Amino acid sequence: MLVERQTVWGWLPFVHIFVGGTGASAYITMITLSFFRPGVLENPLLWVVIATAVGCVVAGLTSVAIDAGRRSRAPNVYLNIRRSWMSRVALMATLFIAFSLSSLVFGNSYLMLAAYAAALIYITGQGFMLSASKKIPAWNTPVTPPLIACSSLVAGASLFTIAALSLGYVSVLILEWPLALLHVLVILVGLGYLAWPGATLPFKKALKMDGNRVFFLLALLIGDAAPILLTLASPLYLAAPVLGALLSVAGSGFLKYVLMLRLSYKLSVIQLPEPSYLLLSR
Amino acid sequence: MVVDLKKCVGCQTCTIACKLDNGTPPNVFWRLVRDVEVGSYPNVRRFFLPLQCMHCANPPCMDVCPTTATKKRDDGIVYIDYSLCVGCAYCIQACPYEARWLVKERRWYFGDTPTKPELLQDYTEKIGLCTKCDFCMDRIDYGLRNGKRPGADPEATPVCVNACIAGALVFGDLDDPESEASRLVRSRQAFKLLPEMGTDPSVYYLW
Repeated sequence: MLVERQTVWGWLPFVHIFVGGTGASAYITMITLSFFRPGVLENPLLWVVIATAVGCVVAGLTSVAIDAGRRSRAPNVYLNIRRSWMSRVALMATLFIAFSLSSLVFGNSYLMLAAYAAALIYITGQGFMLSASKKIPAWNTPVTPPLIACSSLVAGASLFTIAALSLGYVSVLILEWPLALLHVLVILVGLGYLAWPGATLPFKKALKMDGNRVFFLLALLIGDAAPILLTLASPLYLAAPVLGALLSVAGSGFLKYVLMLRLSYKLSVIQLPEPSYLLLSR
Repeated sequence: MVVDLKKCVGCQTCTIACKLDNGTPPNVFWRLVRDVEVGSYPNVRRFFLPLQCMHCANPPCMDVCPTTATKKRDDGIVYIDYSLCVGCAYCIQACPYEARWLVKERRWYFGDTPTKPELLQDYTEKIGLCTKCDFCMDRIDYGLRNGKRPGADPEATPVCVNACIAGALVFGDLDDPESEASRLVRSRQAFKLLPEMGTDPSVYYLW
């Protein structure tokens, strides 16, 4: 029996997952690309991407800090690294900010790699953070972490593409096909989420209610299927990569909105084993 | 704790006793008796289901808490160290029993003026923090220090149990085979809520 959506986490935690995840993934894309094209690690692209990524992660952390009941105690969130994904995510976000900014100052590639690792754990941890929420059946699935991580990666790579193209780095267009493959991965993980064989009854009901399944598919269509089509059309239309990237970012946000705000029905406590009620004598 | 569903009459006396003793604000219920109707016509049943923190053996709220504010005592009571909690509400999302509450603004039951019980039990320090039932652990500790036995002596027993007019709530040490709670769980058909969550609640319900 699903009755209502959770209300304790609203738009602000959504901003953290979407904006923070997208920013960190833009950085991940830049560093990954630099393994093949070291030229991307030059100014002004390096500065722009790091500033954007750090700005997004700071915006994400700020949004959850605003949402917390006692902001002055924010440092306490680092106390349970051993068990809590929220602690790990907060730590990785902080390390990412520290390492990426100091890599700019000192020009040290090891610091860049450390920031890269922190960003990867950060975007993965966001999904694990949601999946540990036992009260929300649509989050409490093993498919949630890869879905969140893949969606963040696609949005981040798209954000990076927009930044690079706007600065005239046409060489980043080699990302087009890897990005298309990433879109295919998101679609596969998204469909896997919808058809997950271990889905509980409350999870299935959450997908059925209020046209959520349609919204979810629409998010995949906007954020992933359409950009793939635009990649195919890119030889014909010069604006296709930018348009595809914009759609990817919007689609990723929409997907996370559907997951975090629309699908967030609470598990009913009253799940009594049928027909056990018959055992209750009058 | 053991809840006898055959005895519960849904009077909410335990709810009110808890509210009076803890001064919880409007819409915050550390314990609440739900009115449940199950089945479909003509095979329907209506009964009352008291709900509260289940003091799970594997509490998911404790695992997710980023501040380590949620702790479990050796006797199994799960409680919140309010000096550490940041009010992130992650524990609320993790608890499948809806036993945790977060209030960001102080409200009184009747307008701007607090009632006497609200003044006596100041909840203000807990505004902005996650809160929940702690099995009246201060009473239990006080009682134990004074040679009382939890579940047997009212001074060492949670107020909801003391207040129950129907004797539907039984409190005691489930590890002690001689306790009334253990005996009831052994002798009657007992179940726990949402066992599939793997939380192993310490609150048993009796059909």
